[in-house]
Amino acid sequence: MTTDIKTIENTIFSKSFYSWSASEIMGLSRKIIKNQSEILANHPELVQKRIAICGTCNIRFISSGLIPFLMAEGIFPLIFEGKFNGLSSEILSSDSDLYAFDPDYLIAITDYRDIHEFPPYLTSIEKVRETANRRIEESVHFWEYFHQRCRSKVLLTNIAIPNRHILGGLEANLVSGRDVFLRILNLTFLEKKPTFLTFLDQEALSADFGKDRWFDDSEWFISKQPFALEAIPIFSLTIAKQIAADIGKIRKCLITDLDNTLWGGILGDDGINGINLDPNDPIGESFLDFQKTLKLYKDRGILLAVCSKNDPVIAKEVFQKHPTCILKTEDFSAFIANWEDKPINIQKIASQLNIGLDSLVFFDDNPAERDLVKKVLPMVQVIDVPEDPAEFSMALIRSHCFDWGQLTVEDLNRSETLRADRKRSELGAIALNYEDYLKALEMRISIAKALPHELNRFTQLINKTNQFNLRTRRYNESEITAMATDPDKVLLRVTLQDKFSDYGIISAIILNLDHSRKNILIDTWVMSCRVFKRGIEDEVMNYLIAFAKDNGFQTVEGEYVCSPRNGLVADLYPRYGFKMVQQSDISKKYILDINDYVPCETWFNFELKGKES
Amino acid sequence: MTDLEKIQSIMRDIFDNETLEIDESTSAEDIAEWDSFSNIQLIAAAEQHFAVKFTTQEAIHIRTVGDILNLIRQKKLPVDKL
Repeated sequence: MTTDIKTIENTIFSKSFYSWSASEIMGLSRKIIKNQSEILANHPELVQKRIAICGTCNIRFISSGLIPFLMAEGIFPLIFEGKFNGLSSEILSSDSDLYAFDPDYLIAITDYRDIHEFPPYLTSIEKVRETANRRIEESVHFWEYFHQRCRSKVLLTNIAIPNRHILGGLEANLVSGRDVFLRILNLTFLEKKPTFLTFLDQEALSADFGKDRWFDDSEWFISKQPFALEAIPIFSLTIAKQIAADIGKIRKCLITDLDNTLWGGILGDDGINGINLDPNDPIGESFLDFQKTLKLYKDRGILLAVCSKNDPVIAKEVFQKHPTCILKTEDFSAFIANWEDKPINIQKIASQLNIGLDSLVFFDDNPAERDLVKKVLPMVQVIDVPEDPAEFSMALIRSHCFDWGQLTVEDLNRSETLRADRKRSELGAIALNYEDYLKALEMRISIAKALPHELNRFTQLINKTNQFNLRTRRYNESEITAMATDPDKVLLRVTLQDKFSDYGIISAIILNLDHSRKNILIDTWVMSCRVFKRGIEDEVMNYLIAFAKDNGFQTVEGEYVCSPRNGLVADLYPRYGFKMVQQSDISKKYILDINDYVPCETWFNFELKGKES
Repeated sequence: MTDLEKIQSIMRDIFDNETLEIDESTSAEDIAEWDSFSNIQLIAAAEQHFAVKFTTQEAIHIRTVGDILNLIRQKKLPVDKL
């Protein structure tokens, strides 16, 4: 009678419903809800999250549309639907169903209809700003009230400026116009945004979708759905991506082909002077535009890599010598050109960059290559590349494959750091032994309590580190911020610099202090894969034991919880003399009496080593 | 496929009932899942499928399958039946 469960699952996880209409997606959603326990049983890898959706409108359609998109991103949602126009009451009464539900995420949907106070026409810009500030201060206050009562992260829509230009063309020319005021509100809120709150860019979504289609007034009057039903898929996709990014499902590297992907023509046949990168030719311009887009992605911290069936020397020459080629050799963090299968080369790139296959995105004009990669390496995201190179940039951007939850200085410098890595390995080649190599790196380390401005990066590390991660516990920024002021927790961050680069924060540790038992539990210990094998973990352990001693603790407990990716640290604790006290299929618990600890020898410059308590 | 059959296929999908049989007189009272929520979905799906747009007045007065079909007949330009 109902659709076969396997068909439903295939539809979800192949993401084939992405092209469906809103109505069809809601139908799918209904089928998912009917079969949810079976889907969850078949897919234990889905991460369960408690998701509340509240708003100043009817949120039933939005909540229904959201379910398939969340599942496609690997999230099994437990949904709480707020009442119609229930946002204020759910938040302001602390015994509301919302607080009882205790969400991980609250998606809050508001729109321009909630703004009632506009500055009168011909008001000065100062007065306009004053009105905006007042309104936003109230909003911040409102959300802080919620934040004090609930650990949930908030995803809040900004305001989609409506297609109602009362002043017509004058709207863009008067600072006191309604459109301008809404723009100022969005900007002011961004300036005052608390860290537990993330904006959903409803303004950009509605503009991309087309405001005249986005706003469906009849639908609003009939059902209080705040925007057209047809916009629900793109709205839901954006939210799902944001939540997925927040729990650490992000991609870091874009692998591209060369011929007919970064330039027109076949390098091997046409030669460096025959390929099309002509700024005065529409096709050449298309490829140059795509290169510019890639450069923009590189500048925001995405690693670029080449995987091409080409001669490596000739291929590199294009990036060194071609007069109009925008990308240069140093823009790529990995460059593989040979005649082997692409899946093999993609795996090589992942291991060169020391990142997982699930961090990769593949862009190739050849459908056969795309199919092969999809089949052999299903965890790699393969972009459906359109035939027309003029559409390459938008195909990449629209895929949302690099939607991240946050951006840190470390991200922006990643590609430079990796280039320095290569120089470092050259140094490694001339050093006599590993110890000499480590000494020659002139490493400077600092281990200290994480400061408020460092919590952003601290959270990011905890959520995206898979390999050096002892227990794979994920915490969001609100939880971390709360821990930072908890007297029984210590949040330590480690920064590293060497001769070639400044890595910033590369390790995060959360300690739980139990004064009555005189014991410290290492709740979380993660370290960036870029700095493995430098003795940092040894230095951290030295520091931990010294910290325990200085503060009157006697024992340190640690646990290794096995995950698909953290085999690297399976034997970390025994290495430092920890004794196993408990073992199960997935976990090993250890304890160390600090008097038994033998400090490790390390090669760091001690001058800059921060040891403030 | 007649318009009635098309509506039936839309309704089967929306109400997740593959054996649903309807006629012009079928109303919200006959189908448990036909509530105000799915009604909006039904209207949106019908508008999209038949490339028509119902006015607010028309949309809020839809009670039966016949209501939908009548609106579609009024609004749709005559096309050759294949």
